[in-house]
Amino acid sequence: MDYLEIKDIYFSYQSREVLKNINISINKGESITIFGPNGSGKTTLLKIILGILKPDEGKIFFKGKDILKFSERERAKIFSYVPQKVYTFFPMSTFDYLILGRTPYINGFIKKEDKEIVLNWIEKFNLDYIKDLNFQFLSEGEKQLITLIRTFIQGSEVIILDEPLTHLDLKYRFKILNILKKIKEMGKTIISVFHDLESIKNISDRVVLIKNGKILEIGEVDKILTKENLTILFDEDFIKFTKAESLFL
Amino acid sequence: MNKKIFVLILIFLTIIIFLLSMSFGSKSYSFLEIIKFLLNPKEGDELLLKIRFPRVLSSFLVGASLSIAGLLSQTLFLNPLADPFLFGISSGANFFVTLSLFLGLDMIFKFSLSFFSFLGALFTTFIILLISRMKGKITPLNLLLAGIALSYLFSSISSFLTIWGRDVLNKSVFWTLTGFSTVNIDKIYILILILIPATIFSILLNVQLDAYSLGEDEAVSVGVNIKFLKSILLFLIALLTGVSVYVSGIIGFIGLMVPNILRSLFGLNHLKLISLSILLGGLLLMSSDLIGRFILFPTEIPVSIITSFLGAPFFFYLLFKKRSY
Amino acid sequence: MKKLLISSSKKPLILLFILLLSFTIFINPKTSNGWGVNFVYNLGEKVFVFNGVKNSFSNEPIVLNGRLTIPLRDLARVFEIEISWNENEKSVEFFVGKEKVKLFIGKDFYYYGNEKKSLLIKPFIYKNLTYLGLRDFSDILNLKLEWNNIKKSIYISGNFYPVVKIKDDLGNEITFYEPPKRIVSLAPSNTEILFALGLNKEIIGVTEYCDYPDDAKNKEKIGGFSNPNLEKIYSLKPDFVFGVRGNPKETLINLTKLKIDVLAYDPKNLDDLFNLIITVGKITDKREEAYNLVSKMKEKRDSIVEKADKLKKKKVYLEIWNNPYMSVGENTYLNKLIEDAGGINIAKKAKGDWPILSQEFIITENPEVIIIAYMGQNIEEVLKRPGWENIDAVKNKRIYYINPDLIYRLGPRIIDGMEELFNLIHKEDLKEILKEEKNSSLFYKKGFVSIS
Repeated sequence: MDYLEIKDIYFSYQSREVLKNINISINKGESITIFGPNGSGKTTLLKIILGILKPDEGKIFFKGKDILKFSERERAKIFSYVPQKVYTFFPMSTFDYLILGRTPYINGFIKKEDKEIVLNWIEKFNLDYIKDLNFQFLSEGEKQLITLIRTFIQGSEVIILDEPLTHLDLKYRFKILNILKKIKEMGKTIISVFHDLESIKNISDRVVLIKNGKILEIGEVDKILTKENLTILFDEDFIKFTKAESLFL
Repeated sequence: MNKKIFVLILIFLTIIIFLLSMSFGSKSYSFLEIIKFLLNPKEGDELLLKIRFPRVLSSFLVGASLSIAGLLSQTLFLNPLADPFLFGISSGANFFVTLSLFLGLDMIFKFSLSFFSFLGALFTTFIILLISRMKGKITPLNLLLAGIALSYLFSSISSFLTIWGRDVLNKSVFWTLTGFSTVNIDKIYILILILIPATIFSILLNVQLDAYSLGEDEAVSVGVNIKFLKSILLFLIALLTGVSVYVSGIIGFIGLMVPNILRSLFGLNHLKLISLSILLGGLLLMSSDLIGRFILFPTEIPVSIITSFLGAPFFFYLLFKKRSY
Repeated sequence: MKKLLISSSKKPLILLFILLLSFTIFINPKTSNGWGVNFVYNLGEKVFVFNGVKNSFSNEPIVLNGRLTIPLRDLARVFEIEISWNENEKSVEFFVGKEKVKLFIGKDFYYYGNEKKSLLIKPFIYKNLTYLGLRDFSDILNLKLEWNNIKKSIYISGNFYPVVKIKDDLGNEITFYEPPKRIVSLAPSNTEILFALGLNKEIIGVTEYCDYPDDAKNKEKIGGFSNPNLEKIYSLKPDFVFGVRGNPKETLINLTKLKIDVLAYDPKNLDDLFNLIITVGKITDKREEAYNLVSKMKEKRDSIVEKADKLKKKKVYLEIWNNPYMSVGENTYLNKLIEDAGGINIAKKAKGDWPILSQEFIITENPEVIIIAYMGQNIEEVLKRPGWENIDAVKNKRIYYINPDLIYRLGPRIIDGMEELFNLIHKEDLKEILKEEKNSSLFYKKGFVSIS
């Protein structure tokens, strides 16, 4: 039985086909990246995995069970999410933001143990200075970092990240990539969307090439990112773009 | 401002205003008489028991209801400017009242008119849910648009009926001026009957509400059942608004002001917000009623006019402040 | 079915009867319409009598060439004619109906509109007063002059419509050269006034709410009171529109722009109402009817006030609405009505004309009588209001309903409303008095509504 199976997914939005015939099989502890041009349906796919969106056709199986048959709470214990843009509508302290990671475990009221769990993680990451600050006033990098830490608090086995590094400066890119490495070492499964080849090389085991909602190819990271594949993917001549053999400069 | 001090001040003010409200009126009572009365209500003055105490208590309870309804709508809409009256519930309630007046149904039983307003609030809620469901996803924007559209529809039908019917015009105009001058013990019962379960329910949902404030997608990712939560919120808002309109007509701005004041001090912790909304909202409306009774005594100024005086400038303040977010 | 057997001999008689009947219907002798004027002067006296009232002269009459001349000013005063003096032409002008009359000092002719006519006596000035021959005057006004040689008296009589310049409460001023024949009323109170003056034929349009008297229901409807239909009114081609406060100002202004005469009033008390009725009487050539109506109303009012004075004053709560509780303030005519009817209005001390009262206030004031003045309120429900049990009116079940039209329409029936208030306020006392004064017609008036 596969760990996480994405089977025959079709999704349309406003009569436009966003995802067609998506089939991916993910192993436990694996780190897999969805890669492709803008508008190819990557974020949509992540949301379907999380249960935020429901596919028109197809199902997603976790350890053999259809994820839509899980309750929201059960799903949240399995999957956690770091979205592209982190945003709260109302001012809230960073501590309050973090404790929301405990939502799937809380019955009605926040308990002392919930608070302690959060405090532990804050200590581990040396974030004590931040915990009482208004989350809305943190920098992009800090927000992203905090959200990633929230996934620890959420204690899920699968972490889903949508372009986590896009708005960050070098310092935070570094920090987050390091944490991702640690997550991998802990044996968690990572599903991510990245745009830069550097991060993919660092973090991922496999890459899914996706274009116009269709999967082009799935393969190992060091084998799949050829200039030819990229040319097909982006309709851009990467072969002539650089004379170097490797694109990783 | 230290949060603990704020809460203490709130409690202190509530007690003072309560005592003042109880002692002031066509007949005055000393604070001592009031305390004696509270300890042994049955032995107290008839006027205190049957008129004044229900009045002061109901102004507090309606203030609490409206504040919670306001808090819940702001959470639901993810917008600090949201107010239960924004998305058509008051127009729906008013429409049902006008319709019942037009059809001559207002005298069927004792509180027919008020009951119809309550029914109207619920009816509007279901319509809004239906409309937004038709569009697929229930987004706050959809709800807002549905509410505004309904608001216009209901008020134009109401206006049409008032022109068509004879006495209806006078009656429906006066109806919006109600306030607490006609409250008696019967209305208290139903207020408590609705308010207590609604508050308990909201409190049990407090973490879900906090999580919802992250935005829909993230809320789902941390395990919130969005569909259920939104439906429940709408229902609770309608219930609380319906009962408030039932008791004292249309009163605006309390639902807007209270959650915003509290959020700026206590951040986003719905447990604290709900409990303090009861206190601050009750205090605010109780004070407004006292002012309305006091300024042109013995003529009463409807409490809705006082809250508008306080609330309108506050609304503008929020409107301009919001840009900094 | 019985067959009516008419013997042949009776047939011609019946025919004659029918003929006579039809004669009277179709050939109707003109009934005296309009202001009947009556001027009597006995030669040698220092006074003249106009419509029964003695008047003195500004200066004594002068007999010239066997004809009596009188200061024009005195005639103008009693006949309510506005005279204008033209210094350059040394002429005197006034209107008789639509025609402008122009007389010249020292000339024996005058102009009646464009027509040149002759005078018996040339008008002259004596002691700074313009004198005019009495017969000339009577001829100009188309009145009948009789000379009684035995009594040595002059009688002038006939119908006359003085041109009136009327100003309304909006500041409009209209001159009426003849009484209007097509009147539109924009309020139920106005409709009642017009009907009371006998203007059924002249009324061509009323509002939807005009339901009294019965004939009003059959009149053409021009829309509501706060939203009369401009085009409908215009299509009826009225020559006079009678409005009130509450009609939209824009509509009234637009009617004026369409060259329709509009007058709107805002009577605030009984005196305003009486003046309004007289004014309408002057406009519509129903002066007598107007004076009669007003004096009847005053008489009835005075008798009620007199009766009320003899009885003990009672505290009254007039409830004009129940959600919230509203009553009438000190400056309203309703407050005065209550007081004149022997009541003490508990809401008198509240500020505003239509104050909202708290229950506490009503309970503390403890009215002896509660009068419900709107439709749809159940008396039983009032008795059951929690906290109200100890109010005198509730304890003694003195809660009554009054027909709102009687007190909200400031029109002819307002005194009936006042009477009704009196009856309700003093109901208990009156029961005692009834036993003593069985013959008084005041208490057996129709329309007496009692719920007890």
